[in-house]
Amino acid sequence: MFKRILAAVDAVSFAAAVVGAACLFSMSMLMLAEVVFRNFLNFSLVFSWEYSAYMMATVFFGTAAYTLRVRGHVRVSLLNEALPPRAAYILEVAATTLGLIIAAYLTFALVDFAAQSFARGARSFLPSETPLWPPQAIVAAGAALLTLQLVARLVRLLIGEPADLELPEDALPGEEAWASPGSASSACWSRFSAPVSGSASASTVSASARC
Amino acid sequence: MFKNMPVERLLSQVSWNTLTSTELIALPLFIFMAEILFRTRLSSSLFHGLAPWTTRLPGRLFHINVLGCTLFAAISGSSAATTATVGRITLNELLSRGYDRNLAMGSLAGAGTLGFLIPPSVIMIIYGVLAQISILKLFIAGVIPGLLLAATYMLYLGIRSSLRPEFVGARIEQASWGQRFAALRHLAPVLFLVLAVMGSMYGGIASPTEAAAVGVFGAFVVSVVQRSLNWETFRAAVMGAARTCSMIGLIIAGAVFLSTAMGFLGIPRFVAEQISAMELGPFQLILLLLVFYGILGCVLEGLSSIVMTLSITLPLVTAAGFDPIWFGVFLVLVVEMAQITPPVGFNLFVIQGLTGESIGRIARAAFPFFLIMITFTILIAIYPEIVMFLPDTVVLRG
Repeated sequence: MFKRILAAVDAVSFAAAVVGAACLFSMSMLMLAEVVFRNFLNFSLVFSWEYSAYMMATVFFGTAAYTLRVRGHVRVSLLNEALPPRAAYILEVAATTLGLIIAAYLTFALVDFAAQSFARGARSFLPSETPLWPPQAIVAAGAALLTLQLVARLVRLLIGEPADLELPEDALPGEEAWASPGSASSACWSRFSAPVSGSASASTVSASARC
Repeated sequence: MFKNMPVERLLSQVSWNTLTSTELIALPLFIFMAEILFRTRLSSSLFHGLAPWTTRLPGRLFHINVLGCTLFAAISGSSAATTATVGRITLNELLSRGYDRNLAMGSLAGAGTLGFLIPPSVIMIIYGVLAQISILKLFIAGVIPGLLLAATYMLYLGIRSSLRPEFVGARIEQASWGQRFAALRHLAPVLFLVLAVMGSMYGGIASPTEAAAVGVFGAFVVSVVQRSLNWETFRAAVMGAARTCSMIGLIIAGAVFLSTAMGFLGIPRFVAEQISAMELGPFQLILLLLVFYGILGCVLEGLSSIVMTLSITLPLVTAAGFDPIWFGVFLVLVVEMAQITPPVGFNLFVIQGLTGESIGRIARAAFPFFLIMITFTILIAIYPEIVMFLPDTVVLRG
């Protein structure tokens, strides 16, 4: 039961990361279109900057939970490695709890923020006058997912499961640096990173459940 | 007006404003560009294009590390990406030809940090957004210090290799002028990208953000031409870039929150009063900051330590008469130093990934380059004109 829920959190995190990656690609193309339009057609896509900014926020928060799962966030690993296993474990639990509290507070703040924008019908100052609550709600959802992934991490630590997934092998070496080797089996990873297709999320759920 | 706001409203408002500021859009785009380029054959192109040009220099192929990183830094905003991309081919080539291991690793570590100093630069984008100054001006300010630092590295490599001829591989590579010019075609993709990114920015067609979008497009073109674009590399590049963006985004969010909280508590003003009571001269203040960041760098990664303290240090430094643009370059140098010193030196990790050496040995190999950097930082504190000359001279259009 526990593992089912943990795997579901992973699957949602991965799906959100795919949304984040899609936003990254879309904002690149949107800005490129803006350059082309402005320089060759003398016509600025006014909304391109604004929407790219919303998508950027989605990249930041949408990918955050998944990044945590694959140990992509900055950690002070030196302290962790220098301590004896028992103390390192306690530190890890303490750090995760603290991170959880901060993330939960951030989520509360962002949900409240989006709700306020919704209630007041706040719109952007730009010509598009886009209602602000939808992008803010997406960001809040990303923060909520990060909080959830932190809960999952805490549970994994407490029941003695590996808390991190390995990064894919073709990641920039600089990124691998953030992950310390041997924290989770790489077989887990290769299933987890199966190409995104229709059935991907279903297969990741079952794969992670077995790991 | 913020005074009457509940804390959570303030937190969400400042995070939202910063993380959706249009100047910041350049950051994910440059990261994406570097991830695409990392998966092309640009690394080997750089080596083959540069090798014939170094055969007559003392220290020969060692210089490829510096020249390659300098060129790649002009299209990449990150030093880890620069180190990884350039080092992937050059390190193996140097070591298999019998070049000294320490000097090869050290010069790569040192030169890789140029990724942050020579524009475009991820650190400068973040600093520009947080300090609210022109990113383009920061970019321009990085050019001369970046080239000077590269030249100093090359000078050091030349002198060191002249003193210890056994450091350089036994086989003397020869190249005629015809071969040299023929090799330039290998550099074509890099020069094309430099032209696309730098050209559009300084030519006034594009802002840094738009230049980054052009850069992403250029990276795709290079990737297609070199036949390295497929679904796998694309997926890996876009996912990897999204992860890195998220990591940096959370650092920025945390820093924004922290600085707001510190502002509430009046910490920056308190520190400023303490410092002014010490009656330090401008130069002494910079030395103090250098020591401070050095100590902070022992527990924190470079970027985090800078963004977290910016709300305290920036007012101090500007009050002492330094230009915020100058301070940006100073901070970039501070992050660069943190990149090649343990415990959290990302360039060291990258080189460890490439060679499998211990962090301690790589850090020792990089130490002379650390000394060069620290000397250079003190030099720009004495002569701020080195930094400010170009941004003060160049008149920006738009």
